[in-house]
Amino acid sequence: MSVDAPRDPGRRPWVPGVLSAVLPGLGQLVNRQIVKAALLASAFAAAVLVELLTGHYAVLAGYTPRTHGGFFVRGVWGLVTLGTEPRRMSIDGLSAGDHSIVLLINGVIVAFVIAGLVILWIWGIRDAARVARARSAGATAKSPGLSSDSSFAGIVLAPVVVLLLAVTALPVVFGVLIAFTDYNRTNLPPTNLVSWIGFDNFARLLGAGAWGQTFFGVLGWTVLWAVLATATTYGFGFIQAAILQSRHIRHPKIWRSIFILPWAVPAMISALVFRSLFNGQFGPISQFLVDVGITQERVMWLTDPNNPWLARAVALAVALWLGFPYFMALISGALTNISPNLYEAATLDGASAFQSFRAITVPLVWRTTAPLVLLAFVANFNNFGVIYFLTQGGPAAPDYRYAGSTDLLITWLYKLTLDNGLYDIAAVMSIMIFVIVGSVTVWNLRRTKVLQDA
Amino acid sequence: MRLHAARIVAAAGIIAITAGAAGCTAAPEATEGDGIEWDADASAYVMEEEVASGEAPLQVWVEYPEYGEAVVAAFNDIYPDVRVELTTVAKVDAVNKMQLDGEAGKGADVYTTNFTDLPRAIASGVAAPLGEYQDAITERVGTEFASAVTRDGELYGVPLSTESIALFANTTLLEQLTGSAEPATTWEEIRALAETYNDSASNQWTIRWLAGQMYYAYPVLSSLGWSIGDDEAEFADALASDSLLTGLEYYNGLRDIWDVNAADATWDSIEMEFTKGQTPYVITGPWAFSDFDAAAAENGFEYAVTPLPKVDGAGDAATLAGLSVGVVSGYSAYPAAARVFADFLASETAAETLYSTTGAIPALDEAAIQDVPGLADDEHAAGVLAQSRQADLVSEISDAQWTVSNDLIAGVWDRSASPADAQAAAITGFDDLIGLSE
Repeated sequence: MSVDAPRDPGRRPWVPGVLSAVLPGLGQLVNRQIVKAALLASAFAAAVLVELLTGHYAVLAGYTPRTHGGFFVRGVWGLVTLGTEPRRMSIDGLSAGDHSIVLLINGVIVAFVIAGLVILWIWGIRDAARVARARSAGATAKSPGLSSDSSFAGIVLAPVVVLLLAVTALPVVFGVLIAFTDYNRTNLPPTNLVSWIGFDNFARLLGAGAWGQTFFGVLGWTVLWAVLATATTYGFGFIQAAILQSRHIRHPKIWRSIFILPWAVPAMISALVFRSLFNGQFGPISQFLVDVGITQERVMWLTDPNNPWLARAVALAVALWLGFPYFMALISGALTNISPNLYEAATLDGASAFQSFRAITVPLVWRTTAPLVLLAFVANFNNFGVIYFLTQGGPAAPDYRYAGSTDLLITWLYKLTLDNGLYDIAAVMSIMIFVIVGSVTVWNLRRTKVLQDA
Repeated sequence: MRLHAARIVAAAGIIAITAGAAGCTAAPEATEGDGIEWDADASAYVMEEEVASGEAPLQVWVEYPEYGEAVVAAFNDIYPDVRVELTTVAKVDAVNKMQLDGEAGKGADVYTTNFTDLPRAIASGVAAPLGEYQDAITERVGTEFASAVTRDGELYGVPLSTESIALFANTTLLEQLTGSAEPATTWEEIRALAETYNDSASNQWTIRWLAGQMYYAYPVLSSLGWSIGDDEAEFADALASDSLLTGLEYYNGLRDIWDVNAADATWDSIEMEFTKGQTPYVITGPWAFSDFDAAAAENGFEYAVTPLPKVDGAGDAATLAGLSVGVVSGYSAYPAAARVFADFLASETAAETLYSTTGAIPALDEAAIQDVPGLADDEHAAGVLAQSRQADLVSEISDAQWTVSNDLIAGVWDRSASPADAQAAAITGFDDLIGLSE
């Protein structure tokens, strides 16, 4: 094949590029980069071979992607159609047929592989043209080969990229795609086929009045919860850290150990214990308040439908108890890193203790901890454990659809969709949560100096 | 040099393509299963050779290992060569686990579940019909149980045991309080006792139960003439009925004698309080037997199990019956052997084993159940059995129905809305919920 190639590619540097576009590796061959050519060509040959071996290509009569296709053809076919032949139940079990969800997952994997091949193909074209251009400009005869630094990095990192795609990107893409299907309790594989339905699920969730009202109501409380839970834990942790730093405190290590304890106990266990403690009728806290005469009646901490803010306040208090040790430990670390010189200088300038706290301690600590505050906000936004195990979303909110007054989006999503087999609606809600949390995160990260400098 | 290398590449390519072409296969013919063989003389399916010879084991999931082991031992008396591998899987988890494991090829051949999960099992292909065994099993368990697990004329499960909530009464305490150890039969009698015995300040209650759930509220509603309906369409009509409103208003009034918010009433404050001997009545099910038996011996009281109280002047209190079933997986590689084992689960021997190992009441018709040794003398089981006789065996209550009705009952109980408003919200709420999956 090299016989037809121009003897001097240098005169027309685009020729190797075009050749690589037609047949991956051909351009490199013309450029006399044999190893690179062989690797590129073999990657594509392997793809063809995989397709031939996994498919049924011996007899092509009556070829359909479903019956004859291999890894690639059948994968793409599955992703597009999600199957055409459901399995049927009979006395000897399920008949052979298509499982839409398996086809969808396989299809996503195939799409990833194809995307990888396309990237490789484009890289091959550009590489061939670039090398040829460099040659014609009279650069070194020995072009950068596989041993060069950039290729080496790429090769070494490839397994990590594959792992990342499989572990992170695949489930996310799968979850997003489910939102555009009718995968729910009325339509379960393998005896039914799932199909693509576009944006119908979004319209269903946000179009009908009651769901939209519940969604935005729950969203409002979720945002408020995330802000308050983060602010209180950070603020209280800051105060504790500052106090422990003070010279007037004896045995700071003991205090620190005690304060860190709530963080050492699994949050789920703590939430369940608090659920018992705050049981309105049978809990010891209500009982104690009645016994010592502070309240006449027992306080229905978590279950009073007429007083949802009480349950919300208790939930926030529990979140504070669970969350402050983390920030206390974090900020203690940040405090020890502040140079004493700054305080000495401030004292010489006549600053009061409060002034140095405000002008030195707060900004320096904030600068180091801001990204973690952001992460804490996201964690609180999706703080499933505390709410689900403490209140299960209650007390009931009559205006909401199957959500309680303390339900966060994530707990409402969980109860509504998994209890009722609404996997498609669950995916829609996950996308919405992702969009909200994602945009807040990105917006904040861009504003945070620490990460820009890094 | 260059030409040489090019030749190598070309040759390698040709070899690869040839190898690929040589490795190509023809598309397999789409085959329909050739069925499994029925031995009419033995009235049994002919087991697959691998299983019959013990070469391949049969995978079976049961909730109680002692029951599983005893049943397998009895099964091996008849089929000594068959190997059965047991795994302990709770009935409530079995269908979810099967949906994943079945497709992955490592699921059970036979598993046990609650009949309320059966519709989902059928919809997701993890329950297969029992075929020729249908008539024999129906005859043994009676048509009422059989019809609860039948869809489109096919039997999809082997009814194993039945359970129902019932009224548990501390007869020792009752005798002290009222002079009679006879448990109440109407809510009005309980209310009369509550007027003197209840003391909210010291948490002394006449009767305790999980008030915020339809499963526990249904006996009151059904006593006043309401029925939940047999499917989602009937449920939608039932939600709008006047008898539901009557029932909800009465149920709302019961809050006076058990004045606790739905979410505050937990196992700790119901069953565990009954074991202390200071609560005359609880509403719970046979799962509490072992705890209560131990506590009754320790704290020196006796307890009786009777049908649930009805509303004075109204009908009997029907419960929503529970039924555990043995199911053959649609994914089973040994459909004949799996059905032979499933059929054995409905046998007399297996029913006796079930009662002797777990204390559960076998799902048999009224005549056959008298033959189970020991059961006739078991007063506690007899109470549950008496309640079971007046239970509604609803073949299908969907998850959406549970969501809506539990929300309704909890709302009425916590008085977050009036019964009429709660009912209206439930009607539109059910429409909305169904609308999400249409």
